[in-house]
Amino acid sequence: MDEYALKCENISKSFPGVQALDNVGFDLKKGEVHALCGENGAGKSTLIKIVTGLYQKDSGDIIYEGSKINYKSTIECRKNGIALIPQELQLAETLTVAENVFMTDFPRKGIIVDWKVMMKKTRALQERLGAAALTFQPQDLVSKLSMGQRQLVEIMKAISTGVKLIAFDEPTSSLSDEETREMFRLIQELTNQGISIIYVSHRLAEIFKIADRVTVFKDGKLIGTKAIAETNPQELISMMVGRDMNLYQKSHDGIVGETLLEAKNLTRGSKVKNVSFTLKQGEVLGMFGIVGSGRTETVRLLFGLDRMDSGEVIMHGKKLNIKSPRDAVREKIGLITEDRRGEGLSLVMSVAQNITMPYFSKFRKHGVLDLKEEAKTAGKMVEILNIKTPGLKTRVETLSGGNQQKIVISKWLGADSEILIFDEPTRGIDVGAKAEIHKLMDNLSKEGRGIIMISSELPEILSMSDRILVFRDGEIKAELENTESLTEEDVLSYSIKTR
Amino acid sequence: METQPTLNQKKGFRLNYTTLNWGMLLVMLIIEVIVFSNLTPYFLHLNNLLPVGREIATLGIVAIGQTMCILTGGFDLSVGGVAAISGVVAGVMCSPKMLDLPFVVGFPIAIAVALAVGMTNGFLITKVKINPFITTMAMNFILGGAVILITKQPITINKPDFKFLGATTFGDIKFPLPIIILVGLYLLFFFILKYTVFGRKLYCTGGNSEAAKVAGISVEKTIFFTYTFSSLLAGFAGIMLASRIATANPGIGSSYALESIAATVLGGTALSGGEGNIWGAFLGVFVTGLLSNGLIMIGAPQAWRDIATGLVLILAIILQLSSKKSRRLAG
Repeated sequence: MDEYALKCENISKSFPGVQALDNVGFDLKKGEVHALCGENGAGKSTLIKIVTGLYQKDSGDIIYEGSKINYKSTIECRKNGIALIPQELQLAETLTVAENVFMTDFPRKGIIVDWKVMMKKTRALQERLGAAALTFQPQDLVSKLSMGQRQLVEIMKAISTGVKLIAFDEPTSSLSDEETREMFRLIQELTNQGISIIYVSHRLAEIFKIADRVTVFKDGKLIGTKAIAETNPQELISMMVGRDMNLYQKSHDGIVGETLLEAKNLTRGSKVKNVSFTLKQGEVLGMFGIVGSGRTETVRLLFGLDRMDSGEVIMHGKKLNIKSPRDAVREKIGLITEDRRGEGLSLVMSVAQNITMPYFSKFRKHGVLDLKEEAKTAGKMVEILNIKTPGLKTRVETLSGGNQQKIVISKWLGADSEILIFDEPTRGIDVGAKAEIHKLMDNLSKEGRGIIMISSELPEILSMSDRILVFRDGEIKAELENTESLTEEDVLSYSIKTR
Repeated sequence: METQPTLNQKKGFRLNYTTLNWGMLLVMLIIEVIVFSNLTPYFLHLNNLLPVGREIATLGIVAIGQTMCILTGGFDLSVGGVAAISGVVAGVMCSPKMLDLPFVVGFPIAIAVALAVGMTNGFLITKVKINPFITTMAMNFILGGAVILITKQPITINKPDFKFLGATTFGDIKFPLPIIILVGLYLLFFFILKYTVFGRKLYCTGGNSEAAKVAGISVEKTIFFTYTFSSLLAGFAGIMLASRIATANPGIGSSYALESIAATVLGGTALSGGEGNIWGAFLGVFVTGLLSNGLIMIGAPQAWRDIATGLVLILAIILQLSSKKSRRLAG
């Protein structure tokens, strides 16, 4: 037996339109904590999903415990000692702790579940994990547990089957500081028991606390592996962003006009804390931060999708009272949501019907919709945005992602929105369509509209924004003018806890 | 997909899913006609077909509202109860042995009951946020009980003004008024769904309520009006039935909910909402109605009619699924 629990070699994986992993590899020693890091979309999550059987690799080898494996499902992986603790925990909240732990393999007497043994075994697992896991009972309902406790249940589920390798995907994203410290103690304990850990995280501070080695990915490619003792946060950040800068020239330079919108002290629970900013005519205001840092949550308040606890929004010097998206649309604010299929489009409806969705009532003449007039307007949008569709009556679900996104944008052009909010406008879109959408945003801002652009992609933020707001933990941590000297490292350092 | 948008070519005939489904229903109708007219020569006589059409009219009108509810992604299971209570209220108002009011007075009162039920459904679904399935099922229980409280026996109303709506016929062939009303209502609601702001909002709500909300559409108001319309139509159908048979029967309507859903689904309206139209339900009602009548004509008992309806439904869905699959492959 050699010292490696796992070796991944030349792994590639593509999804329609995206090369998620391009010939990458890393190895994991027994009892080691190996961190994987990179920006959103770097490929780290895809890799651990392949290792744990959730996805299938296109090519490459996975060598586990000295032999090549090709497990086809998470169940097969679990049976062989590889477990994933996903970012979104997958527990049945209405069942007890014990039932969740033994879900895949209940202890049985004949055909009857042996509750006594199940409770006892659950208790033993809790004891194995130590004090933190003894704060709840095997018969407690999962719905009553805190996020930290639920994570422990996931871990118990993993170790119940004699696990040798656990992959954590952003385990601390929903934990309090106290729970996070507890989690670290636990991971230490697991490695002492000979279990190897793959640890995916955005948070550099955590990686330096917990990991033995770290591997950095970028755009599906492997950048390098470092021993934690021989590197520092600064180096990791430049590894994460270090890209050919010539490819990403600034593609927007705003002629910024008068103040269009002022947000003052927007607050909603712990998700959005005292967020204030202004947006000027002709400006592209970039919002950067990791997922859950409060960017999307802030614009949802602006657009009336969520209600703010406190704060005010002033547009053209007039205080707005936005209670619903209807109000926002009336005030000429448009939102291009992150989740195209979920909130942007009605997939079963036609291209024309989707394009005019926010304003079809203006085609009403004496109570009757003038469908010819509507088709004319929709046709114009199709031409302006170069939407590739067989016809206006085509169902939107048959179009490509880039064309669907153009339809979402076209909705708000037709609605004459003065403020356009783009939430991750080019996620999952191929390079060509991306460039077109950037060009379009540039044109829109030159028409004097104000644009708020949320993006997790630094090149996009730096090439499009006039100003950048960096979010972390529901707050604006920095407001940066996007000058020539601003670097990706500068922006990233505000969004990541490095201390 | 690198071709230029061919916006000007959209005039030609396109074999889309809706037309395919229509074709399928037409073929089913034709098969029914061929089979039954061979089995019994009277099947194709106007003396048979016109009364069948008149009978189908009741369910056909109920199916309009049902289709609208299903288009928003819900159901209305209270249509039977609404039809029954509206008919009975009309009976109580107009029966010579009871209040003996003229029909022009009794009718609006009975319709008002349906309106109240529909608004209550809408309120419970949109404001109290009870699932439409539960809301309308509970409402159907309540109405079923309420009808029995009003009368256990059928009420006879043998007055010309009461019978006008359902029993009037035109010409020597005795063309029944309810068929004209049925077609008229279908044309009206086809128009409402396609050419009014409300109709479009209804499709948007059913297609993707989140996207509709983001586009500034008041999803709740749309759903509220949809259930109100559904109740009004079911109430009207119930009154028309009572008028046709000169009797307000508390026992009618128990099968309307399922039969109207069956007709809607046969017509190709997706239970997930947002796609389909009322013409599908129109044909769907005829396919099941003619099937039922044909089986009566050849002397098959009720049990066989139910079995046949179920089989036709399954067959239709299998055809729909395979045509959807082929569409996905083509797209």
